[in-house]
Parts: sequence; C-alpha cells; structure tokens
Amino acid sequence: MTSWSKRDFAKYPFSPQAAEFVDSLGVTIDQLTSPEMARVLERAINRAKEGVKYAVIEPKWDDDLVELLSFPTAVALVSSLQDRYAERRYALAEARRAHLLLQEEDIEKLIKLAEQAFGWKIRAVDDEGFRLAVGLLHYLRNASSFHDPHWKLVNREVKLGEVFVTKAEAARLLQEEVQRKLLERFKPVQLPESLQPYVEKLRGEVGGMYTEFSEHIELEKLNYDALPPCIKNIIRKISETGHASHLERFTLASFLVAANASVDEIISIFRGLSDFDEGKTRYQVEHIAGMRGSRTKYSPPSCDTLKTHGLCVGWDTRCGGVRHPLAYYMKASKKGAK
Amino acid sequence: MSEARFLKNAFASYYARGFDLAREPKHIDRREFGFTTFGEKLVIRHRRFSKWSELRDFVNSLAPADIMCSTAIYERPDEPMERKGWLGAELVFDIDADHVGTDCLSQHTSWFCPSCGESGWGLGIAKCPACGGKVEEIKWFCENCLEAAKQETIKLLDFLENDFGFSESEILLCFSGHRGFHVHVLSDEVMSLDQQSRKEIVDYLLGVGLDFKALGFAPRGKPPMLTSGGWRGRVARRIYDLLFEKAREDERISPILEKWSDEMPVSAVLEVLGREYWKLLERAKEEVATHVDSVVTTDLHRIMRLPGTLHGKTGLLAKVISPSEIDSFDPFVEAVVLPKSVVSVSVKAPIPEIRLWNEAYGPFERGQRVDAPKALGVLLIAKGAAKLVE
Ligand code: SF4
Ligand SMILES: [Zn+2]
Ligand SMILES: [Zn+2]
Repeated sequence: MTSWSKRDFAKYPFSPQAAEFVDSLGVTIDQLTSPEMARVLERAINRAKEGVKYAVIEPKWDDDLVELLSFPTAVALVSSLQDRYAERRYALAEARRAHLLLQEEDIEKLIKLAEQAFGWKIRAVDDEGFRLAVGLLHYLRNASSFHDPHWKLVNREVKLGEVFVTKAEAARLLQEEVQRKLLERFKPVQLPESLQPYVEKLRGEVGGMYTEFSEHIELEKLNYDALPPCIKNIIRKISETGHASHLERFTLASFLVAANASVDEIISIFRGLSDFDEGKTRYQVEHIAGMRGSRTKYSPPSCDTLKTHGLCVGWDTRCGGVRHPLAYYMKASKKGAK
Repeated sequence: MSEARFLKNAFASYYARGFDLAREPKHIDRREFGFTTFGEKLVIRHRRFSKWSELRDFVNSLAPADIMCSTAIYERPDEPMERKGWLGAELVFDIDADHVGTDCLSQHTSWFCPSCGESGWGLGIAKCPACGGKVEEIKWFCENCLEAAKQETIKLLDFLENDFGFSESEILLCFSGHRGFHVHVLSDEVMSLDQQSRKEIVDYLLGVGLDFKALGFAPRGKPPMLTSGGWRGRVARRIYDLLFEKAREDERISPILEKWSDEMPVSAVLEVLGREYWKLLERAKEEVATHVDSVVTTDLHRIMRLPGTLHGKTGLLAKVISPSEIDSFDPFVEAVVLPKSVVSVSVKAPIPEIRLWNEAYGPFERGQRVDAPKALGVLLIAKGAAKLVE
C-alpha cells in the first residue's frame, strides 16, 4: 500500500490519506444537497443512523467514491447532533466496520495501514506462532481497556519494547485505535441551512435512543426506569464505549437475573460490548442464573461491594440509604406501578 | 538554636554550593513544584518557576526540607488541580524497602512519645505505654533493606530495558534519599500514557493477573522456551535455575535438565515434581516480580523528590545514579554530602548502628550524648530521634 487505491480510501475513510484525497477533490459541504451528491447524502444519513442506532455499519458498497465521501458527511451529521453518546456509538460502529475489513487484509497491508494511517511501530515477525510485533505503547494504549486475561500485558510475549500478536489481534487493536481517533475528531460544526432538515430527520430517528437507553433493549419483563443508578450506568457504559470490566459484567448480569429479566433481554444489553459473542454471553448468563454448571444462582453484589469497587454512583444523591441495588429496584418498581 | 534552625542552616549551606547536583526537569515552566519547610512544617504546593535560576534563588532563600517536582507537565501548573490542564506525565517508579518485604524493619523501628518523653523499639506501637499518648514512629534503614531495595531496582531496570525496550539514556535513576530508589522514564512517547496503561505496566512488573496456563506452563500448552520474551521466558529461566540448585539433593531432577533444550519439558517436570510444581511456579513468579509501589506509577498528578536534592528526613542526597553503576552504588557513602564537622546531640529515642562513609556509629540509647559528624547529627535530628546540645 505504498500507494493507496480508491478502494482503500473507501475502506478506511478515517485515514489521513483518505482525508487528503477528499480535500484534493475540492468538494464542499454546501454541495451535498446538489443532485449529483444525492447518493452521498443518502449513504451518509444511513451510515450515521445505523451507526448510532445499532453500533454497526455494514461494510458493503458499490461506488468507492460515494462510500468515501459519505464518511466525512456522516461525521458532520453526527457532530451536529451534539450528543456525546451518539458520537461514541457512531465511533464504535465505524471502528467495527473497519475491523471487519481489516480482518480480510494480508499481513503486509495491515502493517502498512497501521504505520501510515496511525503511525504505529509494527513489523512482521515469525516468533512462536506470532506474526506481528507491535510497539509496546501502541499496544498498551489500545489493549488496556480489554478485560480478557489473554490481552493483559503480563500474559504476552514482550521483548525490547515490542508485543507479539497474531494478525487477528492486530486487527482488533486497530479497531480500538480507529475508535479512539474518531472520538477525537468530533467537534462542533455549523452545517449549512440546507442540511438542517437532514440533521433533524436523523435526530428524530435516533433521538429517542440516545437520550433514553431503554429503547434498544428489548424490554419484556424489566422495568427500565426503576433500575438503580449503578446498573443504568453500566448499561450506558456498555452502549457508549463497548467496554465493561468483569465485575461490571457480573454485576449487571447477576442483577438482571435477580430482577427477573429474561436471558434474551440480558443478552440484548450485552450486545453493545465490542467483544460481544452471543454464545459465550448466553453461557455466562445461564451460568449466573444457575441454569448451568454448579447450579447455584449467583446473587448480585451489595451497595457496599459496589462502593468499594467504585461502581456506586448514587449513594449520596439518589439512593437514599439503600443497602442493595435490588432493594432500590423493588422500591422504585412499586412506586412506578402506583 | 532550635533544631529547625539548625537543620535549615545545614541545608542552606549545602544548597549554596551543592544545588548544581539537582537535575533540571524538561519543560521546567510547565511543572508544579512543592516544598516542605523545617519548623512550621509548611507544605507549599502549586508553585511554578519559569527558569531554573528562579528555582535556585527560591531554594537558596527558603532552604526547604524537601523539594518536590511534578512528574506531569501542565498548561497552568500554578493553578489548582482541576484547572491545571494535564499535558502528560513521565512514567515513574518508586521502590521502597517498605514494599520489598524485608523483615528487618521491625528490628529497626523505634518510637518516641512527645508528651512524656518515653521511647523504645518497636513497629506499630499505637499508644505510649507510659502515658497513653500518641507516639511518633521512627523508621530506620539498614544495609539489608537498602540492599534489598537495590536488588529490586536492578530487576526493574532489567524489565525496563529488556522487555519494554527503553534505553539507558531515557532512564533517570536516583536514590530516594531514604529507604529506596526512584526511576523516571523520560522519553516523550510515554508522556501521554493513560492511567489504565500505567496500571497494566505495574501489573506486568508485579506479575498481577499472570496466567500460567495461558503462558504454557501447564501440559498441552505451547511450552515456554528459555529464550521466550516476557514472563514466559523469565519464569522458565527461573524454574531452570531453581531446578538446577535442587538437582544436587534430588537425583530425579538431572534427567529433566538433560531433556531440557530450549523448550521447557513441562510434562516431564510436572510428572517428577507433582504438586510441588505449582508451588515452584509461584516461587519463581515471586522472585521474578519487581515490587514497585503501584500507587506512585498510576498517579498522573504525582509530585516526587527532585533528583539531586536533599531528603528532609535524612539529609541524604537523592543522588542521580547511572543505571549501569547501580551495582556498586553505596548510599552510605555516595549520598552523604553534609560535612564531617562535629555537632553535639542528645539522644531521645533508641538509634540503631548506622554506617556513614566507612565509619560505624551507634547504636545509641536514650539520654546518651553524642559528638556526631554534622551529616549524622542532621539525620538523627531530622528523624526526631535526637536534639541539639547547646
Ligand atoms: S447506592 Fe447502591 S443502588 Fe445506589 S448506586 Fe450505589 S450501589 Fe447502586
Ligand atoms: Zn508518653
Ligand atoms: Zn533494614
């Protein structure tokens, strides 16, 4: 990839190289509503909508140029919503899209992309099954939010400032890099009048969901409004960042099980995790629910425990002396029912 | 003369000629400085100096007990924390004898009761046995704990260079002036590391979250090699050494060692050692780990002693040491920079034997009058274990 093709730009429109190419075309934001650009605008709106709503963007297109131009347009649309939550969801969606594409690339291309688009220190190696060596600091910046033990630095091969990874792992790290870089990109934009209706349309479609997280959860048995702040906070974190620690996952799952949510409801919440794996999640939830393995039902942690681990967010404000998040939920559900 | 005045004078006359040994930080105008003073024991924070010479003048006029500098750089270092505007921070490590797990500390900790003057030996004495008042604890150091801290620091440097790939020129190592060492990684690229990444680095050094199975130390995994990187190689090499020692008394071991080329014969070792194998792994892990203070490394807003300045509780120099010379560094000689001229003190709390230069002093008992070289006098008074005799 010493020279980037149009296809590459369409695949990785967040790269500085793609941005430069877009600049060279001299398209301005005012032209977006002109008839020639209709397809760009249409793709951009869909891109933004899918991204914010489902945190996925399908990596499928037929016109490279349309696909490429739709990206900065979608970013502008999302920015003008002026909602941090929407931005996070969108960044996560773009990063996942990139991840799918990156997985298909060969090693050389992956290296070039990481070097050229993100300035990574990375090289090909052949070391005990590992194919790539990534600079320690680039590794840390992107892997330190992962919770699976195999990502922990201590369990990696680390030599002279390099961490050895497989190709798939490098692609996953790049996904994080894309997400972080995108988040830095959002800044307040003033879109031309002619685009305002599109922004409003987008706001209308995704609005309900980013102000209230309950909508994308397939509510059945759960009373979303009655959830205690700590639990809502974990749900929000998952849908905004795609990350949650083991304790957060356990707290959430065990709480929801105890609150009588169905396994499918619970899974729909966990779907927001960037490392979501339906089979694994289902197994874990069923395990916590006592439907598997030891057949003991795990009870959710108490307020004290959550406080110790910094997961309590409502102790001194909203919760008024409850000792267990479930107690909060019971009380709040009753109130709501009245 | 009051004790505070005596200490202040000693520090002032040292800084009048010795300030050059202090190490100017990069971007001095973006650092927060902090000081403590003798006497009123004031803590001064959030000070900014635009030039090194300004700091020098300030130090010369104040003669502070401690000179601290932020590991971070800020947009506005002199404002309160919320408004400073964090721009980055050095990657720092603190190795203190307290964290290294030597057991000598309990033998060389004394206490003094300011209300009734009683004193004695002992660690963790909450109340004065004579009057029930609150006592001051005085932790001493000895050759043993400083040697342990030094060995731990040598391990840290090995991790920093061989695993993390930092070069000697990026590493600033200094004696803490008391019971340990400080290491600063100064390269520009570490400045932006977030807290989580720093936590990962600490966990790596301490071996937190180490998964022996994932690293191939259980059967059916990918067996570690002696040349493997990271913990795989480190633990494998340590196991090899431990088995090598064991081979002398246990004839079952030699065949394993013979079988062991580069790749560790995990199943064979397990077969011979049985349950003991897992204990051996734990032991290897303990010995490979380097016990840094995790709070210091993960704190993005830390102030630490400015390298090359005096420690207010000891009068010893936080001397900058070249990493390749740490082996031969002798704090009791090289960090002693105050004069040999004699001062008379009277002992308030028991003092263990202390070596300065190549002279041994003490142990001293309460009430004893000592004609001490000034360096020792400062140490005893600053620690609160002696007072001046007029
Ligand atoms: S007080 Fe209890 S229920 Fe409320 S946020 Fe904290 S942990 Fe959750
Ligand atoms: Zn007393
Ligand atoms: Zn000791």
